[in-house]
Amino acid sequence: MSDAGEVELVCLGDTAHILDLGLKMVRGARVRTTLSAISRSRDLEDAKSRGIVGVKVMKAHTIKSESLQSPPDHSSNQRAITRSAVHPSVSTPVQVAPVPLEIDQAPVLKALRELTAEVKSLRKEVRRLPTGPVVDPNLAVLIAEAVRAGLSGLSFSPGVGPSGGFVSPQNLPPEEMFIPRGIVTSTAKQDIETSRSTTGGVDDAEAALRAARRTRPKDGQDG
Amino acid sequence: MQRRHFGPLAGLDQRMDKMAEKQIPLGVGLDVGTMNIVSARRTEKGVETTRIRDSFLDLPLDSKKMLRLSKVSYVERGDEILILGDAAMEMANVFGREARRPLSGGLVSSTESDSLEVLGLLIQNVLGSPKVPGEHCYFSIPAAPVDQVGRDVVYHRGVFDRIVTECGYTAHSANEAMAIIYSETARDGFSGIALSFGSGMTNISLAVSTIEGLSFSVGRGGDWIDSGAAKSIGSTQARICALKEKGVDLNAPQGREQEAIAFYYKNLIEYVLDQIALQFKTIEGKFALPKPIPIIVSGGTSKAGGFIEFFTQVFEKKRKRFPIEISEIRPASDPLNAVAQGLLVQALQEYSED
Repeated sequence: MSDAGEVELVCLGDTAHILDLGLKMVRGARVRTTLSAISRSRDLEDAKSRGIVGVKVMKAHTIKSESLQSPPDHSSNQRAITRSAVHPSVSTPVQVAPVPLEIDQAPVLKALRELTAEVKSLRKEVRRLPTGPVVDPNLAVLIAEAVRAGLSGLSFSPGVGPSGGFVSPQNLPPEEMFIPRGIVTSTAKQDIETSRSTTGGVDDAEAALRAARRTRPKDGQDG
Repeated sequence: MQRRHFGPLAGLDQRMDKMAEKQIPLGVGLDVGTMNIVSARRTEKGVETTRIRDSFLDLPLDSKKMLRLSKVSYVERGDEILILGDAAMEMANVFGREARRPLSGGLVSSTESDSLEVLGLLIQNVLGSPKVPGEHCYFSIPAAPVDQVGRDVVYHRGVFDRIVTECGYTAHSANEAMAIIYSETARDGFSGIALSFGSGMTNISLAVSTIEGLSFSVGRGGDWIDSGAAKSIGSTQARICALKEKGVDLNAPQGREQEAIAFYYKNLIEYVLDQIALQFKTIEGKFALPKPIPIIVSGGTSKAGGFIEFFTQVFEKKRKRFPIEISEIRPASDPLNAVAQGLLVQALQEYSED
């Protein structure tokens, strides 16, 4: 039978009795055996913990009975031990009977129920949260008001374009715009070439408009 | 008691009476457009309109000599000279430059730093001096564009109010398209839809019996056509504009360039009609139209060959779904001057005895 690895047991104390492996060792005695043979040995664990046996892992290969060397000790039972150690098929694994685990399920179930309820309530809260950015519908108006308040009292140089508004000018009082004076100077007029023509009169239109406005209510609009 | 004169002064009273009869009514209309500025004033012979191209060109001072030889008038300003009006367009070609425009999209250009001063010069030359101090002057303003957020006419109106006032007049602002209603729809009881197809924008007004029901503008006009056509065929805006002014028949375009122009004209007309239908819905319940009304088409952009027929074709396809009953579609009697004349009509009202 091939094994996962080979180990060597070394007796570090005066004597070492590993009864569940059938070993009685004296100081300096070395026994080679398999890893699986010693894995369930409680006596070996006990001896190791008392420091009277050392375990050295050798290379992992199939241990054959012919390759095993007898340990150079004086124990009369070595051969028997070796033989029993070399033939792992002879060794019987320690069988531990499963211990039935008795768990009180009631507190666990109670905790699970409480956790489930908590998760459900958290989900409801998450669903209620807005999925996108919340934008005040009056944001544009508020920004325009804030900018206007901040810029009040400042003067603007000509060339600044007409005041853009985020909101319809119908909703706001007419704002004052800075228009510079002296755009037309007395010396500025030059004889610049223009195109002139004479067309028919507008007397008819003018008379008709005057007549139409007479019949219109006083608060009619001009153009 | 009437005095009578003899000798050299004989007939003076009669001459004075005749002069009184011939007194020219006061008042002037001023149409401020992206392409042209036009004034209209009553004279003995009728209505005299004065037009100047709304453009300018700045040149270094040493160009004076050349300009004198060419007999081009200019204005000296510090270390440069300004050529104004039509000459600016011509000289721009000579120098391989673009003429600058103080208005952009129908409104005072905020990016053109010299716009105010140039506008002052142009208007001063178009208006001339008032006949009497404080003579009434009605100047045009467009309606706020419905398709351009953030653009309004407050600054624009303020600038021209200041300029006209500093020229010695009493300034009044008036809607551009409504001015066409006053000059062109007297026979319809001043009811109709007026469309002013300008360079920078198109203005629209609807009125019934002189009452303005709807006024708005859209940010598309002649410049938009030039730009779109140029981009679509890999040409330049200047070339397309020149082609248009040279003459194009919208109903029978020849070649790729004219076809592109016709395409964008169609697009513009459809857009304007759709916007009218849309805007009319906002007043439909509040503004009654007792009978069909005419559409009056005006503006420099409407001077393209076959425009009225073209416009009518486009309209007929939309007539069934158009919310307003239209009696006819006709051009203004004088598309370039209709706005100025309508403003003059309003200015004359200021001096009526009512």
